[in-house]
Amino acid sequence: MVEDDRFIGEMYVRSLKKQGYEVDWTVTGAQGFAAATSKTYDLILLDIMLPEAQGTEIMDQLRNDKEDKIPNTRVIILTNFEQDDESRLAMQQRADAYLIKAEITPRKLIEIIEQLG
Amino acid sequence: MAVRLADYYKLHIKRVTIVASGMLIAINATLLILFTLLGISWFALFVYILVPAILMQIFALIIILRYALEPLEMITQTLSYVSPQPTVITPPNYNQIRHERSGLKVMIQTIYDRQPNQTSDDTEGSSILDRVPCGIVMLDSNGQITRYNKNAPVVVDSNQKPSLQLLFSETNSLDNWLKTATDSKVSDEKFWPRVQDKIPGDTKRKIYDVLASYHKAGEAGVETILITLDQTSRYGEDEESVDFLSVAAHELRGPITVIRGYMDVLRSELETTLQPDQRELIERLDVSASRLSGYVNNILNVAKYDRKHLKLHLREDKLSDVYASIADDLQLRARTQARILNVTIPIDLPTVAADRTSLSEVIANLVDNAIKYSYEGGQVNVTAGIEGNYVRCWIKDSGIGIPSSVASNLFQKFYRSHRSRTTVAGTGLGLFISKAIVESHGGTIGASSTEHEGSTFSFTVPIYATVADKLAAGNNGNEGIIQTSSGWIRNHSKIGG
Repeated sequence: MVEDDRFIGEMYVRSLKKQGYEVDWTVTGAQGFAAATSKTYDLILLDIMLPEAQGTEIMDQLRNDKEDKIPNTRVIILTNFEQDDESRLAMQQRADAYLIKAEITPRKLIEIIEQLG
Repeated sequence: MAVRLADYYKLHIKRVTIVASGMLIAINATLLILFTLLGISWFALFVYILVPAILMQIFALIIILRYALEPLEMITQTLSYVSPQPTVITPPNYNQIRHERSGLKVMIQTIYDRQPNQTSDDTEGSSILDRVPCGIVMLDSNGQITRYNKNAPVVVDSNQKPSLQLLFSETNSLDNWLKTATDSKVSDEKFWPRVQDKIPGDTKRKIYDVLASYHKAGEAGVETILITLDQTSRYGEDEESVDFLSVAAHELRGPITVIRGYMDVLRSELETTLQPDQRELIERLDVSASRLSGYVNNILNVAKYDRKHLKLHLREDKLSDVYASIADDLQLRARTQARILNVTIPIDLPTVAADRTSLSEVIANLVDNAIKYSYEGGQVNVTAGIEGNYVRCWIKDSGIGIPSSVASNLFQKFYRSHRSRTTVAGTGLGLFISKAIVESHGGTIGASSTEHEGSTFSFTVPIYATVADKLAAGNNGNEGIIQTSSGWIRNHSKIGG
């Protein structure tokens, strides 16, 4: 999970761990990219508003028209940022889900993760 | 002091009269002196010579003056008539034989022929048009630009051919309108707000409001006139205000996430230890936080809609699944407010073309309203069925209902009836944005109500199979399926049941 807000990060980590998931939590885009490319994860939860680098840039580096560095990993964009529609649609093409944090609860997130398989 | 043309003749008559009178007096005084020197008696002089002489002279003077001044009168009338000065003088009749013979007719015709607005040199007209603070473009019967002014958004190519630099949307373009007008109308007008001349991102982009007026076989070959008003500074500010809203929404959503998230965590971890009334309290917190999130969404969507940026990504979905994504939330809201929510959406309904997030917002808004405006213990029923090429969803309550006088204002932005403003919480945006979302899906929304008995709100969404090809063509954007001729508000209102 790439999330810079401490309260929100701890909240998801707590719920996911309780559900039996193993979670690696990074707080910057650069750390997130390094982690994503160093180990094969089943799922990446990616925030957009991150210090230094936006989640959109990280997504682009990990997965773009030319190559997919994380072919076996699902990606859920988890953000509160209201993007313009063009950017959002572009992200939705590359990710497996695009969720607004304020609209879901941790339990709902887990339901969605389990739906994705 | 300048003399008005219309006054010239009167003044001239006065002058002539003074001069003639002066001459008369001088002549007669001379005669008087002469006859006195010759020794004629005063009486004889006065009665036999002076009085008749004066009378004859006056008579002659009148005739001569009339004759001498008539041409001058007609010429001054003509000049007054053709000048730009306002006048009530009618043009003189110069068609009599005597005027033809004397040459006055030709003189007056020459004046008419020399009118300033009949010269072919129109640089004065051009400079006046350039001073107009909006763009003016004139098109001929082939839609080609014949004239335009400095402020018009027109570019000229290497062959000196001018063309309009405005980006209209495909479904609502100037060409489409002009074709319809040319084919089937004698005259027509149309207004387009917020038309850009370049794509977003171009720093020199300008945004115009455009007004077009068409008249078949117009004067001087001009059939269509376009007026463009540069509104870049005004609409540019709107765009900045939306960026502010995006940032503000993000800030607001942070704490909302934490409130909802931690309450969810606490509820699940304390499930076994919570007393039923404590559980109820936490549920109320949850409902409020989810409402807050809904309000933030409404504000953001309204801002996007105002900028005409409410684009949806429509996918094949089932209405029952759309509802399922918010079912728990809505049941919680109903329960905490002592309402009973009954939902029967058949799972075998045909799939629809829907943007799940936005459509679920619509359902949540309508159910929220039904809860708000119904009585304690009241029922809210949500049902759905097929209607032609659409699936229709009904949200019915048996609450206070809507008076017919306010029914037509329901879907307006910020509309809240005077009754509910003080007693019921709300932003007045829910129905407005619900209408915008439903129409952006290509559907319609409406309400029917009986005061004191309840209301039924319903909306339609296109069945996926009927729009699948249009969506595929538009890359799943919703532009191809928005109805352009849908009724603005579909509204049935029964008075007195």
